[in-house]
Amino acid sequence: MTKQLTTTTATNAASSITQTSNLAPTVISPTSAYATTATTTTTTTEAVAPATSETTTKAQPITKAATTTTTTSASSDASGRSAALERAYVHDVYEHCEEPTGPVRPRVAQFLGNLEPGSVVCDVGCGSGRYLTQCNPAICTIGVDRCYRLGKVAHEKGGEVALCDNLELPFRDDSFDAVLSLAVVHHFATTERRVRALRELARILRIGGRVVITVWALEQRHRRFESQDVLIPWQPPKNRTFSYSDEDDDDDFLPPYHAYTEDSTNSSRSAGDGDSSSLSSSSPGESCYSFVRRAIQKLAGGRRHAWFLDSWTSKDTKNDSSLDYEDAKDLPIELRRLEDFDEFPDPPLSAGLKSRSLGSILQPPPRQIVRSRSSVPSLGGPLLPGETKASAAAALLLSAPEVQLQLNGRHSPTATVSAGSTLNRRPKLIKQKQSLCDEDDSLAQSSDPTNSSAFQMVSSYNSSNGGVSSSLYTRTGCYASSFHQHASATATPPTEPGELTGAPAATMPSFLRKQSSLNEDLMAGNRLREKEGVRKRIQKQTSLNEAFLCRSAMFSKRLQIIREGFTSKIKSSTGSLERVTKTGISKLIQNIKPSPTPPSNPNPQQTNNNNKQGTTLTNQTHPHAHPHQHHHHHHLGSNASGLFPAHLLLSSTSSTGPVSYCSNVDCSAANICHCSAYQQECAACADSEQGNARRHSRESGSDSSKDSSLQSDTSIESEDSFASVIFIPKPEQAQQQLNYQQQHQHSNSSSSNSSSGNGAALAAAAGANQNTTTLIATPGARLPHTHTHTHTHSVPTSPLVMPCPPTPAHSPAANQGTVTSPPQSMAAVTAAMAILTPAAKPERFSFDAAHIKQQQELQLEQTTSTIRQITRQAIREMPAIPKFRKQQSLQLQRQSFPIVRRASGSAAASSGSSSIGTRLLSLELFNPATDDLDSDSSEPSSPDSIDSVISAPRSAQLLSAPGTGTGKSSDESDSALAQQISINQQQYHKGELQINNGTPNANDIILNADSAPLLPDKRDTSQTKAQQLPHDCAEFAEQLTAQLQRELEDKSNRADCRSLDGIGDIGEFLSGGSKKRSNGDLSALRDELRERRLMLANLSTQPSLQHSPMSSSTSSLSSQTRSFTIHEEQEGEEEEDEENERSYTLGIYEHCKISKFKYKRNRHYNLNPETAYLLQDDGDSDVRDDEDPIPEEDEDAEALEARGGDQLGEGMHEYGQRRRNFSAIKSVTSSASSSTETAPSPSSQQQQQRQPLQQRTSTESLEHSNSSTTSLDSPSQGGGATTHHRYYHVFREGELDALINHHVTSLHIVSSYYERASWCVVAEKVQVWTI
Amino acid sequence: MKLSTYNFLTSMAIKGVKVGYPLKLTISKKDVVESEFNPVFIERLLPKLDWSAVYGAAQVAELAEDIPATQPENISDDEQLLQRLHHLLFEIDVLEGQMECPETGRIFPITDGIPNMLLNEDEV
Repeated sequence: MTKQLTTTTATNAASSITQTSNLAPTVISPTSAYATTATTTTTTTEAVAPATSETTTKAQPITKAATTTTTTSASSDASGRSAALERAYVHDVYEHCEEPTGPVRPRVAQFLGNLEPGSVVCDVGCGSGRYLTQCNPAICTIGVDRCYRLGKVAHEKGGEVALCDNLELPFRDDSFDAVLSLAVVHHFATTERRVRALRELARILRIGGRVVITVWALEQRHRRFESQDVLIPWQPPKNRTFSYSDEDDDDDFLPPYHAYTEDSTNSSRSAGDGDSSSLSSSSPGESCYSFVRRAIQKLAGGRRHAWFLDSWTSKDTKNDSSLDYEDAKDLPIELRRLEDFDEFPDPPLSAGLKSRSLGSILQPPPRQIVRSRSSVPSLGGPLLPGETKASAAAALLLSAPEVQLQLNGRHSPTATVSAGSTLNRRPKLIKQKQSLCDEDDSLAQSSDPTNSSAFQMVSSYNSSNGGVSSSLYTRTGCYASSFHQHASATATPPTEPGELTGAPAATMPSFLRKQSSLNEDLMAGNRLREKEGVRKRIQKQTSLNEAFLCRSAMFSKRLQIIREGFTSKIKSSTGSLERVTKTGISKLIQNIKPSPTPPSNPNPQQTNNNNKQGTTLTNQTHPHAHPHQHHHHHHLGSNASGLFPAHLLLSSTSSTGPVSYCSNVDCSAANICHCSAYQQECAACADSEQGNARRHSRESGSDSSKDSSLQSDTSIESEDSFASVIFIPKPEQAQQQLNYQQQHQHSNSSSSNSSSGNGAALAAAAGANQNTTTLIATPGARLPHTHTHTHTHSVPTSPLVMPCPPTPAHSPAANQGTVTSPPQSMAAVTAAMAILTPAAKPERFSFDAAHIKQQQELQLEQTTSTIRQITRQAIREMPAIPKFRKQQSLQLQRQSFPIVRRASGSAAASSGSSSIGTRLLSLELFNPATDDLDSDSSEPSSPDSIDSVISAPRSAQLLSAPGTGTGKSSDESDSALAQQISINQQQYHKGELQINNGTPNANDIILNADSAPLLPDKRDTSQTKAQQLPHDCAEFAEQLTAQLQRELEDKSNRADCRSLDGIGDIGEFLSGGSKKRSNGDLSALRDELRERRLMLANLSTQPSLQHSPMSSSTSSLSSQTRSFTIHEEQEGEEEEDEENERSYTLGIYEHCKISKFKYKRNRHYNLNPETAYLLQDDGDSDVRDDEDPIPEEDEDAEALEARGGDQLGEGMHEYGQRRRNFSAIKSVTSSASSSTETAPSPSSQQQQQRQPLQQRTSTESLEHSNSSTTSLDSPSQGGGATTHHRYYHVFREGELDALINHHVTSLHIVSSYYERASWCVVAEKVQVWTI
Repeated sequence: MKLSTYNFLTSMAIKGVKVGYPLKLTISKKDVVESEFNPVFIERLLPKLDWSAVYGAAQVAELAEDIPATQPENISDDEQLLQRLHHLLFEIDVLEGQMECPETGRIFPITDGIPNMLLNEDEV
């Protein structure tokens, strides 16, 4: 779940892993109690625990207490939180940060000097022992501090030092003549604790003794605080001048903030902005702050206990003026409570401790998710939150790695939450749920206990293996699920069980290793597994899959044809697509409703396939048809063209799977592990889905509520669940359901493909993912849950698919399949979070009613790719598709187009000639689109299928945007997209690997994960293709590659004019291709495909650039939520576009853009801005959209470059330059995208959309995006050296006096004064007579 | 840790411990540090000290013969005793050792002359 959060450094990851392992067991329990709150608390506790463990022994008990208390009482949670915060931001900081020894406070020195000889003084918080020995030789001074390091320093100075806590002073009562508490009380996080500290001081003070208390003042000449609770960055020892001594808050000191000009112009934070303001700060360093803030907020805000109340109340009073801070690092961090506290995982703690990125990343997604929830009311209110959370978690996980665990941190907590929610809310969910729960549990056990740890784990994995971390999370989930599924129903245990069992979820590393080994095994045994699975499920499909594998070349050719057709169709049928999509959606819905009889296990797949194919024929009976189609495609490959894409993808994956795996292995064992994990997951999922899923789905469906049933269905058997689920949804829901169904279909198809093609691992995983997605989708209201599940499942698949990309040129079909599948998974993931909205957006783009289709596409994409990885991949893919559709000129678009085309080509070839092509298409997210298209499309079945496929591609790849184009074109475009994606993935993988090696950025990790999942998908697709279109697959692949190459070339040529012209050209190409295909001019398409292939090959040389965007998208898993919001926004834009006829084409482009945006968002928040721009600039959307994708690509390329993939970076640079050129044309959009990337943060994606506009100005989108992602994901990346922050509660004037007067009756204030930025109180202990 | 400090330390912060005093001191390594003798300081300090703990510390420090088991009446007149007390309380630095809570047996280690009186959360 939390894999994507991996942005933390390897070291952090390692530590986090260990921590997670330790904490895992404890975490699990909380999830069950309160999915949201408990998880959050647990996450916080977990996060805290690692830090504490590192520093002091208390941490562990505290964490335990926190974990235990979190579920029980909020108060305990708050105390635990505050303690954790103090531990992380006070104790640890002092332990690690050397503070300069400031001058002695004269008043204090005078106070000590005036003490009578023989007085015993206790300096609580003596620090370095400044006042222990110098002031008065005639007194006995005992210094106590909580920091061992400082205590040692003080002891070396000759002072008497003891280690103790101010709250538990180990001294007798009434034993000291004087007590010093200098700059200590302000470090306590809550009023309660401050009072306790003061009372403890009074306790040890003898009657008549005096205590000197100094606290930092809110009112300072050189510093201004907008909040009383702030985190002050600790400057490294080198800059002692700037660092302050904790004890000495003297103005004389070189104030860290001395630079503050009184000018308020550049105030990074506005008091009124609240969280957003802090997050939105322009300075790069703010990301860290945002993390810290978030973490603190999470810590403190859990239930709004007393601890920040003071700050809250006092905030508004004084800090209206914002100060300009010279150095962002010097800016104090304001602590504010978050209402969303429960939703937010604890990452902040971990982040605050030392890994910062994840927490921040994670947090924003939930909000986005929430928004997405609102956007998608149809899904089902109650369920949505959980689902959204899960999706958010998934998204977070996905994004975290890139964001450096931004996603991870968030994802993990969210995932845990989702899991917990799912468990709590959907205890009855059958195996799928169980699988999910198991995943969650496993994650929770391994990582859930410490979401942060999980994140860290993810991050570590990411850092080490990049994608591995994400894959691990997904794997863990998948494994867990697979294990459970296997245990429950060992439908396809062959290799998967062993693999799954081999790699217990608890031991992530072992999983990786096991996964790697398993991957190898899977690689070898994929065929056998596939055969077995096919035999069990679809005997016919097995033969077809094998044929596909053997005949990948044919598939490629077909794919090329399909791509051509798509291009032609797109051009010609933009308008028609809209109609078709709308009609198709309605038809699909209707069909779904009427055809509630989901086929048997094989049938579901068939239905899926049918649905895909059904775009043309079975639009009305899409639900059933889809599953059947999927099955058929997988098995027979006779399903509609829509199905073919998916199958093709699967086949391509299967065919290319080995290659991808190999590449993965070569790239990094971690990648391999990821791949294997993905494969295993896929296999497990597929197995469970195929075998158990059906049973479970039925059972669970009956038992549990619709949601549960749906989820269970999805988890168990995508096919069955699909059918049932599909039928359930109402029109709107039906659309969503359709989307879900499509996703399910995709998942089913993928699962079927996986089962058939890859058999056990990859195919199964893909299938499982898809199945899960589909199942999830069906529940509609429960879609979120299912999405989450699917996300998890899909994620693994997507990674598998990703690996495939490397071989796109060689096996275009496989690449396409993989690529497409990842998008599906991505879409599914995103869909889970914002799937509904995104889907709706795509629908809007492609079809008014297309929302469902879009959603389906998205879902399918998401489903295909495992949740996190999938999300990333999907995001990447999605953007790529939009780019392709809109701007095909863009490399990504080109790539995506080729892939799509290839897939579509294969599908078209199969469908055109037979249903195989369609099946392939359908498999690749296209199914929903195809379904929609079919329903809506007025064109013949084949074109309809293509349309549907196109629609899916639109959402996913956009190449099919021309939608109207024949199924071939769409298929081709899909295949091309898939190929491109695969290529990108490969590139990304390479880059990621490099990056991973060099920098453990979350993005890299994500990318790796994506690549890993992609491979499975590819395998699946290849298998499916082999099964269905063995002969055609190779052809399609070839054709697709050629088309892709052509498209790429065209795009490159058109890059300058890509915006509208490029789109139109692409559309023309697609339409022409579709027409040609429809006309039987496959030869021309093939030629194009060949050219495209050549281009792809060339591109492959420059994969880094193209892939980089993918990686970026993947990296920005956390951005998924953003993407969701973007999708929503985009949807709105799309809707507007829909109004206009062009709007359809534009909508398609927009969809592509949206998808791109999504990708961008996923990659970086930049995408969001782009989408926002697009949304805002709907009228201008065409050109802007085109531009937007380009900038995104540029950003991606930049990001990739930044990531350190030198090779990739070069290519990325090229692409980026091109894109930049385009973007320059539409600088606004690009800037918007960049701004969005920069702003992705947090608060709200929707808000982000607005922000993006503002932020658009940021020309360095890539940098921002990278920086943002890096900063968010892994503070380590951005800052290199971690900045330590100290927590302060700055006291207002009179606050300390009031505190003493009201709460410490035994102290009588003698004098109160202001000295050196501190409020000083001298109080005398008096005898209190209690009657 | 000087034995003067030891005189103030208790384990009463531990949950369930009412007195926690005196702690059972064990010295595994100690150092003798000369310091200026100030009889007035010692005299003024003595009222703040717990004599039983002082005597206990003297026993542990193998200086019991120098310190009476009970506090003498007019200690201010006994300069030698004050000298011994000064030596005991301020010139013996316990570098390694431990202190044990008399009620719970909780061990507070002394490392590098710094007693670690930190308690775990569950002990408070």
